[in-house]
Amino acid sequence: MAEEKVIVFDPLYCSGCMYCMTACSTYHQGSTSLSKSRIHIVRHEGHAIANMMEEDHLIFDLITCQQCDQPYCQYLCPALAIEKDPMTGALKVNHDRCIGCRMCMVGCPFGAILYDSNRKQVLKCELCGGEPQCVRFCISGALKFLPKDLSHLVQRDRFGREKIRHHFKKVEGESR
Amino acid sequence: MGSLKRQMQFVIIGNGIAGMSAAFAIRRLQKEARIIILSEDPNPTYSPCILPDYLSGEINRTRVFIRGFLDYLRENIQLSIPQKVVGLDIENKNVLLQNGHLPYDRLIIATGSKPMIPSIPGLDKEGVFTFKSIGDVDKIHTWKGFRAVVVGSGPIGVEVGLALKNRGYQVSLVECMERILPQVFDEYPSSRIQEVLEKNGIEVTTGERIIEILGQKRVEGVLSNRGKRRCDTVILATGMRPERGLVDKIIPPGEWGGIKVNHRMETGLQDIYACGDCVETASLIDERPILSLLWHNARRQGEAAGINAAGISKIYPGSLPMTGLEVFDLRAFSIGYIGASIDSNLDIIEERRNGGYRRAVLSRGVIVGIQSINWEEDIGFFFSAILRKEKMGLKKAFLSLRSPLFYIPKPFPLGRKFFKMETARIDIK
Repeated sequence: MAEEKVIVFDPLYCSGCMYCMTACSTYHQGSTSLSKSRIHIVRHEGHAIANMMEEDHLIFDLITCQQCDQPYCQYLCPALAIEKDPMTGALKVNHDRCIGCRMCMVGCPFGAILYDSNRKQVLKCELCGGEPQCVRFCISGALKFLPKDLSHLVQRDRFGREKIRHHFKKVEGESR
Repeated sequence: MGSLKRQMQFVIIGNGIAGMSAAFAIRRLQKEARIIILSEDPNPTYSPCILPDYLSGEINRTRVFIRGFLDYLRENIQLSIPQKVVGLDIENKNVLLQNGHLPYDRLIIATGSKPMIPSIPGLDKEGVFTFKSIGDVDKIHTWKGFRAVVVGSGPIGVEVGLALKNRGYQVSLVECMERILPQVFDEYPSSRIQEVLEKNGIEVTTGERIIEILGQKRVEGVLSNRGKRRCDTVILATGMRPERGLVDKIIPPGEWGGIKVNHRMETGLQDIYACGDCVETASLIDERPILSLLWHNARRQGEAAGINAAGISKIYPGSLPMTGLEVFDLRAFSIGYIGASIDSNLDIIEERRNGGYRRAVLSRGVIVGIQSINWEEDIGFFFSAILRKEKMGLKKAFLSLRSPLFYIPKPFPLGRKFFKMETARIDIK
């Protein structure tokens, strides 16, 4: 089994360009429609910003599937339609089984699952089979595709970011 | 080379979701152990939650099954069906079958629930159905009828009514309480659902109690306290009760008639565990004993029972009531307790937006339940707030939890911040 990776967001670098959302909906849906994107960049407004100390850093936030280790969506699905992909570790919706009851949407603490009203089934981030298009098209470097054990370091401090930089250097060195 | 040590023998009674989860959980931890599932039902595991979709014809019969015989074979789980268990011999650790007995090292009881059947005359006539197993649905599929009376308006009653309406029946929903879905929704959401049902041609009457089922051999009508009603099909959806016939004399019943278990799904008898619809566990919200009778709870209970039976301690956090309904163009969800089930220090917060409605139930300032109609996008935040037992002020309840996803986006200001961020950009990739 390959190393399990997740999409990680670093708000320090996000410029709010929504390229990731555009790329996601174009890649999966065939049409550029931000509402059908499985990844969402949101802008904090009003009360959320008023409480912030360093407002520059945390204006944008990410809403997408976190590929939980003990996922509520999987427990709640009455048709056992949400399965773990053994290769990438992503939670995938099996569209042969999904009956569109939306219980997984209700159980997701992040609000990361969408409902497709044309197909009458749910959609969620499936990591594009191991090569997320949102990360590929992120021009500012805010989205990163990291192994699960490094994912907590992003927002921690300078040293966390340093460690991640080392990780990418190592990966590049290996591929060459 | 076979090991000399005798392998553990796990026996699971019941092949519903709880029994199946337990079996697969044991297999993950113990590769060599013998696992035997006994069940009266001749089918592999299926999902009762999607039976209404099968009844209405939206999905075909094969999609109801969530595991095939091949899956059991692959995991080396022995499936012995149909096999009736007649009793337990606890002293000698034996399960008594109709012809012989089966020894066990660990026993998991997952017998599930049975439909509660009211005591009214005329239940033996043709055309009276319950709605629990796939066999019941097959019977309704072959039955030819035009006018159906659904007795009871819990989530099962409403879903069966909708499915029969889809099949072309004329449906009446009869409820003896003063509102429909009495255990799942409070007054206002319940009245909204009733409105939509009536608008789409399903007759709903509340406060009506069925006294007798009329007819010679087939059903010809029902007699209630409001008079006679002609029909040719009667569906009894009056609720479910735990099936605890096997351990009736051994384990005293709990407060609600289920098998009482602790957080490790132990029954108190040595090496006997119980999980699924037949047990009574502590509630996740306030630790009072409740029957869950719901899919996701049974699944988690099954996993916890399997892991504990395999020798590793695993805590089941508790049951949480949770229901979702799709009634024509209306979507209704209810998580946790409703206002009517809380007797002291109750606060209700309601919010309406664009035809959507949301109602939070607070007890002593802690959120214990949420009901929503046509507004389910960010209800997951409330779900996790209930899990965390979050304390919240009355006014702030909605503000602090609303998802940022649904704010109206404003145009991005091309000002100081933007350029500052541009300069802070460092290429990492």
